[in-house]
Amino acid sequence: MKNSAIISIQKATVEISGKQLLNDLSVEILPGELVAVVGPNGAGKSSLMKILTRILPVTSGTVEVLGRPVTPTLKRKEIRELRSQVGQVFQGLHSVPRLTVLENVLIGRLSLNRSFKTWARIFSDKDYKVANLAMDRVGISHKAEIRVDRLSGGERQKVAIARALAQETKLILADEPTSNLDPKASLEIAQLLRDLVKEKTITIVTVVHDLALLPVLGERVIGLRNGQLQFDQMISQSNLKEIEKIYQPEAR
Amino acid sequence: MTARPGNSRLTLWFLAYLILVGWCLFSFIQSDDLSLGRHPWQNLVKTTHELSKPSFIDIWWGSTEFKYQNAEGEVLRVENRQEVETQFFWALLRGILTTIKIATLGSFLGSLFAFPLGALSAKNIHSPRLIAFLARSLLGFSRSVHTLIFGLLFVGIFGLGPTAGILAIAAHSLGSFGKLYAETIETLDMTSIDAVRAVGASETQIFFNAVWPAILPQVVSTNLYIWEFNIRDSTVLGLIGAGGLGLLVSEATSLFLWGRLSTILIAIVLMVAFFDSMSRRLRTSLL
Repeated sequence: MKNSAIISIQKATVEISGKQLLNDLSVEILPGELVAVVGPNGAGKSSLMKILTRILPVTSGTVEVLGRPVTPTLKRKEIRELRSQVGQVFQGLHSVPRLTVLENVLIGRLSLNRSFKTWARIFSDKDYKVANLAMDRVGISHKAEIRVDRLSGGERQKVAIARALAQETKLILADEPTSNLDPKASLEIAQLLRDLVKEKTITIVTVVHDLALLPVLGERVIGLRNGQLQFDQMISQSNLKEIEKIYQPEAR
Repeated sequence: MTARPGNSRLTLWFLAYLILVGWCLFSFIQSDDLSLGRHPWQNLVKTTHELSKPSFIDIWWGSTEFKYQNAEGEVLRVENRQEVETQFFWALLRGILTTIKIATLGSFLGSLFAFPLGALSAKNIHSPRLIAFLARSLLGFSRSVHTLIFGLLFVGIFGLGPTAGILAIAAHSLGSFGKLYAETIETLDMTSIDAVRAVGASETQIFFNAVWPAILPQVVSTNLYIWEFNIRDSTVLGLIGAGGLGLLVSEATSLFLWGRLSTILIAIVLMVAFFDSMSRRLRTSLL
């Protein structure tokens, strides 16, 4: 590792067909941090998440995640290796609907168990042990044998978090994880993520769209606008009024 | 184009449809092609009468000494009707079995070859344009040529017998399988694939853990549906010498044995009804 940062972005610019998604962005995130990313639509929040797992290549600048350089020239195998170490929770409640909760959590083990047996969803004892611990932690064990398409939105998001935990990851990226949930479930998921940071040495970076959850999901808040960094501060040293300003239309 | 309320546009389409039907009818009448034959009523009564005496009742109630006589009353041949019809019954069962075997093997082959073609022609797979075009054209071709025509072709190539029948069923159902597979793939929920890709799974792992569970019910349902359809379809394949029940049908009609035909039809209806209900039950239990 070059330095102790878990995520290190230096002067990253992303340009797709003439449109700048990120502009000269530099951010460093240390292990165990709970970081919230805020900003209006099109500010580059999702792009920031996408360059970390090489869904989106940077046009210029450097990105390092968990000590691995994430360059545009990464090979397929290297991309898989990188993704296997990063837990991801999406806003669309991404899971395989026709599989059970347990089978969905076991998907988190796929990259650690490349055996052809996984084609038939046969996993090792260790895989099962880790998956069961993960389900226990998010409180979904009692529904282990139930198909995911029978669950509520909040429960499905718990499955996604358990899947990330099953990866035994040090870093979880969550892109608006509560945008499809009701207020009660939103708060529950947000608190679950926060607790994970507190009890393990996990780093969680969350794109937050609901400012009410900001105090829960962010100890550090990064504000983006037009692909540029607007502020990067501890939540204890900032007030919400100031943060809200980032959503106001630009004075022209 | 002026915007019209939906209702009046529908009325226009309905009128156009009536005009089409009218044109079909009148053009036939004009060329004097719509004839009902010379004695339609008598023929109908006679056929109905003969069909209403299916031959299989002779197994129990047929005469044991049925005499074939010529016009002078001379006995040409004595036949034990019970024995003859019992033999026919076994031949019928063998025919049914052959038909089912032809349909099953043909469906299996068609399904197998339709997989790659369906995948290549699915719009969300983005295979190279030329390949997608070729796959789609091949599927379209196989759908538009009737099983019987494929059958005639294959009887010419591979000779009489079930081989031609199996290949004919496979060739025609390939098109339906491929189209339905392509549609199944096109309606795939991409979020589940994204979820599995996000953990760094390999392509095969993605296929078996996200794609396969999503398409499996549709694939099974499609197979049952087309298999059931093919069982119906393969009952006529024997007409052109491609094996199965149709052989008995052609025999019965060319010898004017309407009682036999009646027995065969009853057997076909029972068989098809059985497979219909079975496949429907299986399909509903899957979804």
